[in-house]
This record gives sequence, structure tokens and C-alpha cells, in this order.
Amino acid sequence: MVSHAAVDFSDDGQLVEALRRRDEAAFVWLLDRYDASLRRVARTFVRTGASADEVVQETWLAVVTGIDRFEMRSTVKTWVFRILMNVARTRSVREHRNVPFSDLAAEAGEDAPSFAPDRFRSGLRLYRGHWDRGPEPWEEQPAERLEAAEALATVRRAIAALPDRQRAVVTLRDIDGWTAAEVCDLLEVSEANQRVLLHRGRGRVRQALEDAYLAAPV
Amino acid sequence: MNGEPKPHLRADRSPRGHPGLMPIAPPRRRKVDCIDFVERITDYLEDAVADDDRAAIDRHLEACADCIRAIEQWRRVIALTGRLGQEDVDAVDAAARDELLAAFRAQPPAP
Repeated sequence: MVSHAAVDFSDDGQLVEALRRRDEAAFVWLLDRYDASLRRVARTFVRTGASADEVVQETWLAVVTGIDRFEMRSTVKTWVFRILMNVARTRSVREHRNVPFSDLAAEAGEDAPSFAPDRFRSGLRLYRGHWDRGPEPWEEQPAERLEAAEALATVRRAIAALPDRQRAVVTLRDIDGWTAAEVCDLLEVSEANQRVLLHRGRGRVRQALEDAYLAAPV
Repeated sequence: MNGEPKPHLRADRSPRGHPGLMPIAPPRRRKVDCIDFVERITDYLEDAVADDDRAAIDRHLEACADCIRAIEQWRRVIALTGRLGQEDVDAVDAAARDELLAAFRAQPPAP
């Protein structure tokens, strides 16, 4: 056999065809490509680490048994992540937990603005809607402080605390580097809706960083 | 940004859609309020604002240090969040991986 160490399966057609031939190199390629990402996304959907690992394992097994039925109406990537979401959803129902993204429905509090309304002026029409108390200058902290483990922990906690749909979009876009189009496809939301969710999620992370800065200024 | 138009008389007071005046009406000098702009920062960063909105926003930003700071903070949030992706990757469990490869090998041939 020729060595296929450098075989690239980024073409979905070739990938699916190879998986149906039971080409192990194709499956290893798929694992290497998406396993870490699935784990990361699973962690945002399922709140405990052990359970997230189980969800990922179940997802991969469903990929193995489902590949022959995959109709290629989406990309392989979207298909794999949809399976992940379905597994996570089923599991959360089975475990009687209502926390993880019940159908990724809109949640109460999701529409909170990025900055509290009282940070803007009211009253005189000329100034209404302009800053009264602008953003605190946390971003001016030196890089070693801004990028310290505590700051990253603050970001991680803030993302974990986001409403489900915001957490999903922020995780996929800003942690995992998905494109807007890919996220819209997976979550079945419009581009505009996706941007709102992303914006609100980022806004809450920003607020958490500002709060941490005010709690412990330099 | 460039080509900042000179202040014009408010010739845009004509009824909306008036065919005769539209082509010669000067650009509307729309006012941008900070409270509205901060909810559009992601739209702005993702280039999802209409050209005339962007022009109005850019004019606003020339005079609003706090909104510029807000944009910068959004950029920082994106960069910091991105670092989680580099640091947080779990080691793949070798036993779990072996189980998956075994399952793959055990699959009957495709029909």
C-alpha cells in the first residue's frame, strides 16, 4: 500500500467516499480535524466536563454508524456538529436537566443591552443618548495583566454564564473561528440574528472584564 | 472619513421618495447616538452596515472618544476569547480514540 500520511480529505465528496470505503485514514483525518473543536463546543452546551466527553464520544459513534446514510445536503462539518447538538439535547432531556439549550430557544434576559441604559444621558434632546459614564479603560492595562490567567478565567466564566444561543455563537465564532455563514447554517438562524447574538454575548464578556477591572484596579 | 461633505442646507426635508429631488439632495447628515451605536459595533466590525450608515458612524467616531474606546474593547474581547481556543484544547483520550477506531473497523461495508 502507498503511504497516505499526507492525504487531505478537505473535499467533502472525497471524504465521504473514503469513509464509505472504510478508509481508516479518512476517519483519523476527521477525528484530528474536529475532535478538539467538538469537545470545546460540547463543553459550552453541556455543563460538566465528563458529560461533555461522553457527548463527543456518542457523536463520533453516531458519525461512524450514520455515514452511509448521510445525504450530503450539508457540509460534513455541519452534519457532525448537528449530531453533537442532537446528542447533547437528548442527553439533557434524559438527565432531566433543562439548562442546556432546550432547542436553542430564545431566553429571558437575552435582549439585555450591552451597556446599562443609565450609562447614557437623558434629558436635553441635544445630549440624549450620549455617554454619561463611558466604558472604563480596562483595555489600557498592560498586556501581561490583560492576558494573565485571571483575565482569561474571567472571559471563560463570562462565556459559560451566557444564555445558550449567545454562548453557542460566541464559542463557534470567537473561540473556534467559524464563519458567520457556517454558524447560521448550523444553528438555523439568519445572518442578522447571528450578529445580534454574537454582539450581545461579546457585550457581556466585555462587561465582565470591566467589572473585574473595577473590582481590582491597577 | 475622506471627502467629508460641507454642511448643506437641509434640503432633505422633502417628502420621502420625491423623485425630482432625490438625485441632487446632499447626503443626509444623520445623527448617531452612542446608545444606538454601541449595539451596532459587531455590525460595524463585520462590515454589515449600509454605506450611508457607515459614513454617519465614521463622522460620529471622529468626535466620540468613548465610542472609539467601546470598539477597541470589542476588539480586545474578541482577541481574548480567541486565546481560549489555543489554551483550552483537551488532550484526546487514547482509550476513547481506540474505541472509535475499533467501531469504525467493525462497521459492515457500505451497501
